Amino acid sequence: MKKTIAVVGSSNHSDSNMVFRLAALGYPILLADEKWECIRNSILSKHPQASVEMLQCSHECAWQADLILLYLSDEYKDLLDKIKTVVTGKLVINVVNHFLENEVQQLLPFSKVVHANIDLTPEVVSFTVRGENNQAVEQALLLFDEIGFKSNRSSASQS
Amino acid sequence: MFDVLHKHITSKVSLTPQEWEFITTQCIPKKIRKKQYLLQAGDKAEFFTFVNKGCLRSYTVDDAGEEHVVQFAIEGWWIGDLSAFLTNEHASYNIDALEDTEVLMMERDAQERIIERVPMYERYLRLLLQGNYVAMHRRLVSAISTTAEEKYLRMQKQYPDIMQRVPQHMIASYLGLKPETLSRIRKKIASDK
Repeated sequence: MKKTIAVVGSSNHSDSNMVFRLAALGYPILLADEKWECIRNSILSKHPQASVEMLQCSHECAWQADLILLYLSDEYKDLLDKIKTVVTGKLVINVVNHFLENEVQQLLPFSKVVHANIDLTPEVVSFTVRGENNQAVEQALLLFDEIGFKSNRSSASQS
Repeated sequence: MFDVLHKHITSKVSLTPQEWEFITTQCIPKKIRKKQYLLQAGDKAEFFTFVNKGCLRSYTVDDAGEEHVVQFAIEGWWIGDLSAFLTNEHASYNIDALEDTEVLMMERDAQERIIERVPMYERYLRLLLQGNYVAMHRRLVSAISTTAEEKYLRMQKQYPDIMQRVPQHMIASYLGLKPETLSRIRKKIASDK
């Protein structure tokens, strides 16, 4: 059974590649921010069978999900506070803002936080993954492998 | 979010506030919509799940595509493919939601961490497993030694809440009866009153 993925936070077109690929592979995707609306439309026009749904708030998205992708912006503290109670024990991948590495884990102390630094060159997408929980890092690596991101495990930063 | 679980555990064992706080950090909260799966046969049975709100059922599907309900679970019940969970094998049951449902899921490692930090939790688990064994044994005896009508009346007496919330064809499946047999029994009981 495919895990349900919540996409929490804002988006711009350049960083939606991962969501697009996950939806194409059949992962049910829940979106909370209206800025994702045009990406949702774009996914559904290319993959009509994809399950991509807009919900009313981040809290609800994160509660229904097994795995959370964080696209953090300046209002990240409010956002993390909203989802904190419903992401306990869940894998949370901080996709965009790797400057906040320590803070995200502190603000979500009971989640398995992983930071993915993704290099979005047009032809090959590569990434490094960092996190305190080895099992969570491994889960994130498997997910990235599955969607075709180039994982160079030897150079991936894991702890 | 944790009130029902707290009530359930403390009805069986005592906990300190610190122990309870730790348990809440080991539970994965999840909302499941009606008809959505919590587990599918063939998945790794990673979780044992407590129902906070709503209703779930576990069932198998035979080669002819017929569903056989193994268990229902409403508020305050645990559900999972217990044998697959305990042996770290793939699930042979499907579990889906019969209503919009809120659950707390616990991984095997989380259970172990709790047992390490909260000694009374092991007693709680033992009491749960004892209850499960007794219920399974009673169900087995009932399946091989009672009439269809007796099975139905016993279920009605034991689980009146479930009888109100679950479709009749699923109750028939749980009791190992054809839906038309259950319908006949219900008519007979109604006319006997």
